[in-house]
Amino acid sequence: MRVWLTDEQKEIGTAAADFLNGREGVLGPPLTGATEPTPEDEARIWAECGELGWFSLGVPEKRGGVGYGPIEELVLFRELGRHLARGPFVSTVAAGWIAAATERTDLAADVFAGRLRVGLAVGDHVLDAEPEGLLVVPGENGLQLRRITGPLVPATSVDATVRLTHGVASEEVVRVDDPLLVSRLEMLLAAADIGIADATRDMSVSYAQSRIQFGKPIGAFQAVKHRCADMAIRCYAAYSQTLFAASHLELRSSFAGFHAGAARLVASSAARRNAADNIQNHGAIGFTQEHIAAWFARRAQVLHQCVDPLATSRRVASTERERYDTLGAPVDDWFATP
Amino acid sequence: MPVMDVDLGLAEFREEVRTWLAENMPRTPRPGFGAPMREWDADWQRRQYEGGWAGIDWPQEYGGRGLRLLEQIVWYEEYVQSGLPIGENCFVVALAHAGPTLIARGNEAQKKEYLPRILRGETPWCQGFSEPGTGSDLASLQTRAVIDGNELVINGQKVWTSYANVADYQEMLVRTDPEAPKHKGITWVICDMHAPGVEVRPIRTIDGEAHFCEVFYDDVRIPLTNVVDEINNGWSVAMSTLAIERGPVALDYQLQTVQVVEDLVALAQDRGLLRDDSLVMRLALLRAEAAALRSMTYVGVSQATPGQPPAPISTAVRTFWAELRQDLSRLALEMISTSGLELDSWTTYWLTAFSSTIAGGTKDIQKNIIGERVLGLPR
Repeated sequence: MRVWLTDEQKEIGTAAADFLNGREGVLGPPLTGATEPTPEDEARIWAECGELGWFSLGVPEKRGGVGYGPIEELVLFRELGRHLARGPFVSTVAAGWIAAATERTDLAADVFAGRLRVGLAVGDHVLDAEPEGLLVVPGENGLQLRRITGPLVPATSVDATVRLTHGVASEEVVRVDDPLLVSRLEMLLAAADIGIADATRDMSVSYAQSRIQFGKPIGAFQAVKHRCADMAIRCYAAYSQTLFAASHLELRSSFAGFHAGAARLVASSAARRNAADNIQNHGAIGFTQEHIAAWFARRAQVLHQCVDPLATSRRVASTERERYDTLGAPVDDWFATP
Repeated sequence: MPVMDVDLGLAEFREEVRTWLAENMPRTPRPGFGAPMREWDADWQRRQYEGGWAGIDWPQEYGGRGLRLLEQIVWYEEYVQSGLPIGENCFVVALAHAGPTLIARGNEAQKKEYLPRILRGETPWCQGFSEPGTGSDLASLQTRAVIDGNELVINGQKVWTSYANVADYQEMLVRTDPEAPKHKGITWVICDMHAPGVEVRPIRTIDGEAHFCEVFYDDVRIPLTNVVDEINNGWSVAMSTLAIERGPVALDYQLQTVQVVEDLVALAQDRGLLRDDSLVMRLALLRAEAAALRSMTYVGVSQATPGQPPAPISTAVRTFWAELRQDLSRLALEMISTSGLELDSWTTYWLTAFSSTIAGGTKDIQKNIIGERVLGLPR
């Protein structure tokens, strides 16, 4: 097991960032001057993401995937979070796992190619669902894929780049009873949270270096400097724990569930607190709709609710401990080859 | 980039550590402040040395095992797991600061003279950095040392010196050139605590225990051969010590905090407090942060270059730990409610936790370092 990224893994992040940087109009938040993407735009870009292998990155080659694992998924989702990418990436990737695990070859092929946008059920709400489309429903012990059978009832989303509906009737298509898939979903959410925490830290540092008040950059004042330091500390903690969790997931270690839950709690806290601090660091401009700062706060709020945070907390608080191993490294397989 | 990867054989090493600790750990309670405590610590250190467990990552020629930091970490993990109090040991400065500094910056004669005796449990050390007028601004220190023949003559005062009352040696910073810019006139010297003119007075800490001391120097004569590195180059030597202090050796305290979270979880279960959802969420976040603390340490170690100071971001681990420890102590007080009227292990933990954002550099200074050296913010 390792807790560092190879050059190849870092390259996945760089390539994803390059792709996202050129497509803010379709994939980014609705800032001043941006036009809302049309359904055709969305379908086209979804297919492009499919061509890049984003929807099958962590699926084994023998099941039609790219053949990487949770660590590479972490790298991708950190970039998606950092760029506030629009669209149901988390649930579409999860639908790919379900289809691959149950050998629904046709379904898997559609998901992998970016022909399907799969929504996510969150309590009574549904995120980014399409009429008569598919839906991932996380449970305690696994993931379900369901098909929407009723009308979508629109609700006003706290994050306008996430489509919100509620009270949707649906029927089961297929399910996988494997708690580790839920943990892997939590790891993806944590990775997106890290992206938000990193991006807001970088924005704040950059602004604190260039914004002059009282004759000096505001970053010279300890009140601002220390807030930026706190943001950096949270990023480092969230990244370390999420990478640790992804490594456990890769090994399918018996501690993966605990570590993924812990990663989710630490990363969600980092994303929400950093997004809030970033607004404060920017002063009044951060309070405007045209500024991107608020969009990070909105997205962090959506991500926080995506898998019931109380359920995760209960699991993390009540995980049984056997010697040192449960909480920390599984002593014997921590350093072992997968 | 150097990396830590697959390490087959560590499981075996860990089992060996576990077995040895189970058979050899001290069975008697550690005495309080003073000579019996030193004797207890020395005896335990000697037993570790004889068992081959002292200085696991120290070079073999000075009595160590010559293994990697990874093996040392495994030792610490098992040590804490076995319930031994890790930081409470009068050899902690010698093992965690003075020894590693001598390994990095001492000359051959100094290494041969001092390192094996530390590992054998013969000579506890203390640290003489802070002074009454010198806290966060360490480079402003005033304790004066004048060269007289082949000796340094020292006059002044140090403070907050843990274990000064039982130590044989002190890693000490003195002002050797008052005319030079403040960072350029400091020398790192080994002070013999038994030399004439050294006077030690204990100070009681917040929890009523005497954990540290004031030390007074009145014409104390120290041979020039005790200077580590060059005269007036002590600031650079001290920085290597502080980098070590804030780096992986802080792991022992961190591991102990992980243990405290577990005790708190057990307390919540015993008292039936897990029915309260808001408490569950707070407790889960602290347990998650304790897991993150450990992950941060491993990520840091896996990216560290052997022999080099830890990356500046590693100071983040220390600050994260310090605040986590205080968060834990506050939640513990809420959970025990009126039992918190008594001075017991939880209220003592709460009181002693105040030190974690002060000792070894306040959190305020740590955040300046992160802001300036990691993030590049202006001074």
